[in-house]
Amino acid sequence: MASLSIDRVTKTFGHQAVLKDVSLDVRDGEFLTLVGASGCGKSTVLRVIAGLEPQDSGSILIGGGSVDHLRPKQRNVAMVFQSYALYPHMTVADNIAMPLVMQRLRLAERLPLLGRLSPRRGRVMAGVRGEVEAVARQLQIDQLLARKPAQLSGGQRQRVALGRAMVRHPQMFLMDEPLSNLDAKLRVHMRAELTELHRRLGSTFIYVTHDQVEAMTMSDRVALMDEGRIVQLGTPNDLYHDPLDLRVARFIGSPGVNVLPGRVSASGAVEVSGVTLPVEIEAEEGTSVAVGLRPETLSLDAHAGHPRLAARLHSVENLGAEVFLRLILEAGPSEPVILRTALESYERSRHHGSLDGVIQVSLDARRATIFDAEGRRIARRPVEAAVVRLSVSAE
Amino acid sequence: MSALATRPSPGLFARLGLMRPDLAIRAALAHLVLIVGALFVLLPFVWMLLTSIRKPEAVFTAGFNPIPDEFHGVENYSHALSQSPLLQFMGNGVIVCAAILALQLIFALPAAYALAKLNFRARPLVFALVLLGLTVPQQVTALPIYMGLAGIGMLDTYFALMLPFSLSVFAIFLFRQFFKSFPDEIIQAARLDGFTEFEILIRIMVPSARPAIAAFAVFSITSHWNDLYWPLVVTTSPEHATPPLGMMIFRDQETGSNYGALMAGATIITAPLVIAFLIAQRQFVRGITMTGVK
Amino acid sequence: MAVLAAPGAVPIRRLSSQSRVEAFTGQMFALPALLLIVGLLLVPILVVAVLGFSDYQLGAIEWSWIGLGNYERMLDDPVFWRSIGNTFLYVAVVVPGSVLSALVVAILVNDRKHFKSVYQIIYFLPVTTTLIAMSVVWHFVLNPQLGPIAGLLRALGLPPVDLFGDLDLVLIALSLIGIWQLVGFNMVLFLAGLTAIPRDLYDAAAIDGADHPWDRFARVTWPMLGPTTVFVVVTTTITAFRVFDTVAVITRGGPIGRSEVMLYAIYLEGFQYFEIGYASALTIVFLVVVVALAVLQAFFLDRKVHY
Repeated sequence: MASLSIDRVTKTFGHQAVLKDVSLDVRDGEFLTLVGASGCGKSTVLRVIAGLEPQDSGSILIGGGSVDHLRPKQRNVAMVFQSYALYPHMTVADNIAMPLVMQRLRLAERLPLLGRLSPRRGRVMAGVRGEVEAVARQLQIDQLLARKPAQLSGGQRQRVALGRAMVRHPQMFLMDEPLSNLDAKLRVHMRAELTELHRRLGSTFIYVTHDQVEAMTMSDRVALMDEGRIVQLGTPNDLYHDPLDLRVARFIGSPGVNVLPGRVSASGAVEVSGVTLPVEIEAEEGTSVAVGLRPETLSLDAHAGHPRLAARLHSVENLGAEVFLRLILEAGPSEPVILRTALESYERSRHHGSLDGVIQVSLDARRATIFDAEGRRIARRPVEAAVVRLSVSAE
Repeated sequence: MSALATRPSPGLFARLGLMRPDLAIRAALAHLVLIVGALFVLLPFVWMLLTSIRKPEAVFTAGFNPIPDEFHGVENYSHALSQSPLLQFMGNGVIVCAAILALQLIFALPAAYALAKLNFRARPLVFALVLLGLTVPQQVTALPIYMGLAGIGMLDTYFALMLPFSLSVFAIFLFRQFFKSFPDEIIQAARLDGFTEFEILIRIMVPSARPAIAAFAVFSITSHWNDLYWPLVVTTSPEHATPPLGMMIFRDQETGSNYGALMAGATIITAPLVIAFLIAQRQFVRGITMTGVK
Repeated sequence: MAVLAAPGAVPIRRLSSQSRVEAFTGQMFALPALLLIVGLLLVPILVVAVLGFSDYQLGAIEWSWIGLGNYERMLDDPVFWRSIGNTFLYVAVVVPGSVLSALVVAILVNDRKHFKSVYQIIYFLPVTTTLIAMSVVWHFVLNPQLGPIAGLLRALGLPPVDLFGDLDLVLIALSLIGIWQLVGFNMVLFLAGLTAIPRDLYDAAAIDGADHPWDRFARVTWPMLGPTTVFVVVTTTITAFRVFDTVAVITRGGPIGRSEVMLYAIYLEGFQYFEIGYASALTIVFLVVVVALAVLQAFFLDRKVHY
C-alpha cells in the first residue's frame, strides 16, 4: 500500500503528444478513477505508472520514492487488463500463481526439466499453491482452479485476473477498463464487488474507464482527462455539481447536461432564452457564455424566484420512478433540452393538461453553471449559498 | 530473441534519447544474425547476377573474385536469348498460367457459391470430395492422366499442360470459406429484388470475393509458372515448354561451356515473378501463404 | 411484430419453390466441378490403385494381374528402399532446419524497429522464384571448381568440397537448398502467429515478473505459437516429402543413388521406363504417406488448440 505522485509527466508517440504535463497525487488507500473519452491518454498514464511505457519527462513516485529506474516487476504494482490478459494455455491456478513463481524461483529453476533438479523448488511451489488457493477462496473461484481461461465465463475470467493481481499483495492496483468486456448486468454487479474489494484490501486503486457511471459510483476521487491533460480532479460530487470546465460538465452525468447559449447583461446577470438568470458573474457586458443546466435544475412545478421558460413537449422517456421530458424551448436552440422529474409530478402535470401546448418550465438558477467561450467556468460575483453548501459537502 | 526484453525504463539513457546499452547490444546482435542469414539467402541471387555479366572465360578463373572485371552482360543476355527460345518458353508460361487460372475460376466460383450458400442434397458429398482432394498431390494422378492424354494423342499440347489443373479443389475450398462469411441477408435481399442465382453469383458474390480471387491468382500463377513435374512428363518438344522446362533444356545445351549465358537465362526466367513480388509484396505473401501445400 | 417476423412466416409454397430453385441451381453450379473432380481426381486415383496390381507397361499388348506382385517387388527393390530412406533423411533435415530457423528469424524480425520489411522481402524472395532456375544457380554456386564457395575455401587454403558428388554430403546439400527455399515461407506463417499474440499478454508477463527474454519466450511466445507451429511443421513435412525439382535438375538421383527420392523414383519408373504397374504401386505408397500426414495434421490441430 502506498501513495502515488505523478510529477509533470509528458509522453509523445511519434509526433503525437499523448500526455501533456500530467501531475496527480493519489493518497494511500484511495480509489482514484481516470475517466475520459478514448484517446485522452488515460490508459497511457496507467502504463507509465506500471513502467510498461517510459515517459519522456517527469517522474513517478510510489510511496514517496522515484520508480523511474525500475522495471515493471520491480515496481510492485499489479495491473488488471481490459482483455484480462490471462495466459490461455495455463490453468486458473497457474495463471494466479505466475507472479509468485516469477518472484520466488530463480531463472535456472524456471527452466523446463532442469528446473526440477533444484531442491527448494518443490518447497517454494507448495507455498505458492497455498497462497493461490487462499486468494481463490476469497474470490470464490476455488472450484475453478483446474480449468483453463477458455472454459470460464467473462465474470469468472475477471475474477481470475483480479486473483493474479491480488496474490502478490501489490503496493497498488492498476485497472485498465476491467469491466468493459462484461455485459451490462454483470458490470453493475462487478462494480459493487470491486468497491467492496477495495474496502476490504485497503489498497490504492487506480482505475481507468471511459464510463462516467463507473467513475461516479466507485471512486473516492475522479480525474477527468481530455487531450492528454487532467481537466479536473475532484470528488464525484465536485465533477457533477461544480464542473470547472464545460468538457467536464458535458462528460459527467447521464442524460447529459443542457447547454444553452447566453449573454452577459449590464448588471452582470446572464440572459438566456429570453429570461434573465438572477446571478451575477465576473464578466463584461455582452460576453457570450454557455449555460450548463442539469436536467434536474429544470422543473414542471413553479418555484418562487425561479425564472420560467416557455417550451413545447417533444418526447417523453418514462423510466418508471423518474421521467425525462425532451422540450423545445420557444426562444432557444432547435435541439431539445432535457428535464428530469419525478413520476408523480409528471402525472400531475399531464392530468392537468399542462403538457399540451406551451409549457412553463421553471429553472433553478443557483445550480446553473456558466462557462466562457473557451469552456472555462466563470465565477459568480457574490458567493452563492448553494455553491458554499456544495463545496462544504465535497470536503 | 533479443528485443523480447523489457522496454527500457526512463532514465539517463532515455532522456538522452539513447537505448539502454544492454538493449542496444541485443538489437545489434539480432541484426547481425539476420544479416548473416540474409547473405545466405541472397548468395545465389547475387552470384547469378554477377556471373550473368561476367565474361565466360572469366568464370573459370573468378573463384572468389566477386566483381567482374569487365561488363559482358549484353553478350551473355543476347546469347541466352538467341541460343534458346527463352522468350517462347516464357510466352508458353503466360499462356498456360493464364488459361489455367481462368479455368480454375470458371469452375470453382459457382461450385464454391453452391457449397457455401445453396442447399442441395449432394452438397455434403461434394464438399467431402473437395476436402479429400485437398490432400492428394498432383503427382498421384499424373500417371492415369498421362495415359489418357496419350490415348487420345494429345500429349505435348497446351491442352495437356492445362488439363490436370483446370479444377482446383483448393480454389473451391478457399472461395467457399470466403462466401460462407458473406451475409445471407444481402443474398436474400437480392432474391427479393428479382436477381437470379446466376446474377447473384456474378454481380454480388464474385465482386465481393475480389481480394480472395487476387490472392488465389498469385498462388495459382506462381505455382504453375514454377511447376516442373507435369510439364516434364507431358512435354517432349521445346515448342510447348514452360519456363522451368525451358531452363532444363537450356541448361542441357549449355553444360560446362557458357555459365555467363546460363546465369543470364536463369535471371530472365526468374525475373518476372521476382519483379512482380517486389511490386506487390503484400498480395504475394498473402497469396502464397494461403496454403501450406504449394 | 408480425411484420418483423416475416422471414419465418413466408407462405409455405413460396418457401418450397425457393428451396427447389436453390437445390436446382446448387446442383447445376456444382456439377461441372463435380465432373472434373471425378474425372481428374477420383477416377485417376482408382486407376492408379488398380494398375498397382498389374504388370502393365505403357504400350504393352499383353499384361496381367499380378496381385501384390508390385508391392512384393518393392520389398526387394534397393532403389525403393534407398528412395524411402533418402526422402525421410531429407525430411528429417529440412523440417527442423527450416522450421527452427524460420522461428528464430521471425522472432528477430518481429522485434526490429528498423529494416523489418527489408528482411521480410529478402527472406521471402526464394519462395517466389523458380526453383529450377535457382537449382541451376545453386549447382553452379556449389561447383567445386568454379563456385564462390570453392573460391572462398581455396583462399582459406582448404580443399574444395564437391557437395553434389559426395556420397555422404549430397543429401545435406539438397536439404540446404530445401531449407533455403522454405525459410521465408515459414517465417511469414510464424510472423502471422506472432502478431496474433495479444500485446497485453507480454505486458501482463512483464508486470508478473516474466521480463527476461527466456521467460517471455517460454511463458508467452512459444505456448501461444503452438497451433502455428503444428501447422508449419506439417505443411513443411508434406512439402519436403514432395522434393523433386532439385533432384531432377542437379543430381538426377546420383551419385550412385544417394539422392534418389520417392517422387523421382516414381517419375523414372512411370515416365522414363514406362513401368506403369510398378510406378502405380509406388504412387500408392507415396499417397498413403501424404494422406497419413494430412490426417495427423487434422488430429493435432484439433487437439492442440488450447483456447
